[in-house]
Amino acid sequence: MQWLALSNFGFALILPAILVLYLFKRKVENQLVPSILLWQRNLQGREAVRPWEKLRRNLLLLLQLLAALLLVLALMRPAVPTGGVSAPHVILVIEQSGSMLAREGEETRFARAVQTARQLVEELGSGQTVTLIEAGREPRVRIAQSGDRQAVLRELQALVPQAGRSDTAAALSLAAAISAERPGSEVIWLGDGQTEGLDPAAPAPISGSFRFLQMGAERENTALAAFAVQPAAAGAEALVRIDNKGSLPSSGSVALYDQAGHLLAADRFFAAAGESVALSFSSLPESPFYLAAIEPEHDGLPEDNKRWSVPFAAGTGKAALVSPQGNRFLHQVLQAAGKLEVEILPEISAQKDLERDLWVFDGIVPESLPEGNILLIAPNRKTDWLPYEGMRELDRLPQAVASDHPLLQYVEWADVHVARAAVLGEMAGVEPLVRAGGTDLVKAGTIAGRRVVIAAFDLHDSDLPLRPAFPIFMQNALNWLTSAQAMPIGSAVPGERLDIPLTPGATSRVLVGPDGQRQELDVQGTRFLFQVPDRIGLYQLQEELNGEVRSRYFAVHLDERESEIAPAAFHAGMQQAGREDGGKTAGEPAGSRELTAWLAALALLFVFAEWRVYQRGY
Amino acid sequence: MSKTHLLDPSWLARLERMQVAVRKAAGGNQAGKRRSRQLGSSMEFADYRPYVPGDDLRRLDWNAYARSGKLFLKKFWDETQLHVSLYIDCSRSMDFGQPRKLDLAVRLAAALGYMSLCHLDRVSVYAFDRQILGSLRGMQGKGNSLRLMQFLAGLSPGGAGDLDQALRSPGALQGRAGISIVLSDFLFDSGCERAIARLQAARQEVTLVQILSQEELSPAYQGELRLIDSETGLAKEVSVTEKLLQEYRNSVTSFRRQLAGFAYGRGVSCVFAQPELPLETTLFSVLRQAGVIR
Repeated sequence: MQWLALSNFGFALILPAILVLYLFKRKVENQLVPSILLWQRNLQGREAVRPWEKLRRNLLLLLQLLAALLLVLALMRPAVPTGGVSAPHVILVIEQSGSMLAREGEETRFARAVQTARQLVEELGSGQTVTLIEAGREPRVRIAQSGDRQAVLRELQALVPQAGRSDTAAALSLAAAISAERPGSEVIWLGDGQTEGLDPAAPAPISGSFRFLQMGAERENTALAAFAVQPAAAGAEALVRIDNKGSLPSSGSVALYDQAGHLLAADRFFAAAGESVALSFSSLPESPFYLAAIEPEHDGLPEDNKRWSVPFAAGTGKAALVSPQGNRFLHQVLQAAGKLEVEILPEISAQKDLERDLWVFDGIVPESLPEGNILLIAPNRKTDWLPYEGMRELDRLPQAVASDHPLLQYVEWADVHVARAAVLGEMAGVEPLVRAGGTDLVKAGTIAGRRVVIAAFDLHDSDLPLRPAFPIFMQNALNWLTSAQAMPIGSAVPGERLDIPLTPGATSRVLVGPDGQRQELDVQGTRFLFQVPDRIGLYQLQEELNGEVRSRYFAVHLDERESEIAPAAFHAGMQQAGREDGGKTAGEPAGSRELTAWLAALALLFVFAEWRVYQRGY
Repeated sequence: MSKTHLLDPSWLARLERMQVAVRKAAGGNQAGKRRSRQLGSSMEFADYRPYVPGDDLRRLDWNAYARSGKLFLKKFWDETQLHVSLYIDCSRSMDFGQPRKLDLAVRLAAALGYMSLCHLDRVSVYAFDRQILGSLRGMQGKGNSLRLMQFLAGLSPGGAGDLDQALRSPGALQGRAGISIVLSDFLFDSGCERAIARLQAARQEVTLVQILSQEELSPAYQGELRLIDSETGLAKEVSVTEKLLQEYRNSVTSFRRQLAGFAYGRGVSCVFAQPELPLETTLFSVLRQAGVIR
């Protein structure tokens, strides 16, 4: 039921007005009776003492109120949606989000939406045009204002479900823009109403009519919300969190598998409606990745029943310290960091084994950047990549300019003094973090795919090594520079951009998808930004290094928020529909039958009845 | 109301042949046409009794003596007069109906009074509302009929009615046993039970003639009304519905039934009369069938 002119609800004020008029009505006629004695016997409890009691059992009033109510309802132009579409231009919006993968019986919501859209398109008459919008991560117009029914059906057939989030607001404003362009458009939204992120207070103004067709009915879903495995002393430990998103208690089994698909552990779980349960497993045998799978009793969305976990690989990185003068502070601090295997080189050898995770240059600048991330301290000459402009005496205290950078976390620069520092020109991709006056003291950024940190002063020209800030700063710098290699790739959700750290020096890199599809990566540097596809599962990055293939894994999971599959009403634009143009161009909304005439006829009937009642004087 | 309209002259002859019925023999002390409770000197034979010395020899039945040789005395009923009291309700509520209820009461009183005068009964007429408004007492003989008619013609509705209070006023009750006929609608706030008891205590044979008009029996009111009592001025606001009217009619029926039931319980005859019906019907059929007159 739609109300095309909801604002006319204001006319409902006539109802209290009628009541008030009846209350004020003093149409009591005096009637002299011989004796009131006989009447008094009947009037016990019948007498109208309080004003509203006069209104009791007043058939006339009742009929008038009913007639007025019907007229108000008629003014509000109620309409029931009908199957067909009669607008000259139909904008079909098909939601593509993870929750649309939920099963409704045999098929998914997405399949239902496509099927419904097919029916709508097939029922279209000649002269009606269709615009098809897929409301995925980014709304896309698949076909615009096409009268070719076959082409639209082909596009519908070509739609593939996406597992990510959908940008409802963007799709709505796109649909609104298109419908505004062409008057007489009807927007038909096929989805399940999961519209987080949409500001309900300010829906996009859709001119013309808007219809939301609910595709979802299933409410029950149990999701494997988290799965983490960590190596421990006695085998790996796993933690599984299961969320019951539905309204019924859910129970089932959970099973853990290793790389080869062997069952490692299994347990049963029970989760009350809307609750989460956590299960832990220990003493799991070592495996590069683990798979957890649940088999719940009630489940609408199978996509969130599996999760992979890649245990934290605490491998040690390799670092090289090149310091011709020798630097005790640096040596000590690198040793103390612990997670690095530090090799001390007196100078840069232009030889083969230049593959290090981290290079530390102290008082020396390499001609070209080696493979690996760079920590450069006290630069003293100009190269292709370093615009060195000489030394400058400093008379100002250092000040952090980008204090939220991870490098400067917990680092106190207030009582650090620097006597002189190198002056460096502008470098693309490198931002200054600490400055003294106009001179940059610490810079960090990315040069040619490598992370680089530059401390523009000699540690011996400063009291920084004597301050508490020094070990903290160095730890931050090492974390930042080596994090890419030390951490696993992590997990992602479809549509995200995943920052994959690459092993320096690998000769070939291949990304293997969950379906076994291989993708050669031809990238330079230590990072690769990967656009995560819609396929959920375990991905593998194979890197060949010195003839040896090393595999790293990362998982792509369904966005946790998409596990909320309970269908919701989608009101955006509904109220707008009737308001637009005051019914001038909107006219009879497409695909809905107005009940106004029926209500008006019924009201007339009541008015007639009221007239008869008045005549007969009940 | 002119005197000529009180009673149709053509009825007078008919009325003269009728009389107010009495169940018990009258106990008056003046000669009249009614059979007395006492034996006396009328023409009507009552019984024989053996002669006792000292009896009036004129009453000996010589024929019986001739047949049996014994002396018997013939006894005759005494004829005496009857006291008929007519109470006419002149309260405001009697001013309703088409014709008015009071007119019916007055005409009935005229008829009853006339026939009683013709029978040499002693007739008293009282008009009352809350008190005795006026009265004619102790009329006897046909010659008083003009007085009676004049008095009745002069009656007009007064204020609120209360039979009991009216009967308590001095001179309202006939001192001797007789017949009391109350012509009223009996719509009194305080009821009429005590008044009837009072009349019976005064050795009266009571007859109630209840007069209710069509308007009271089945009113045709509509809509929102303020019902105002004609006597007390009390007002009630009602919205008249068919259901309420039905309830009212039921209530009237039960009121009548209640009065009749009370009258029956006290050995009082109760007659219902309606001003809309022709007077002739009421007089010659209703009252006659009820045994008030014969």
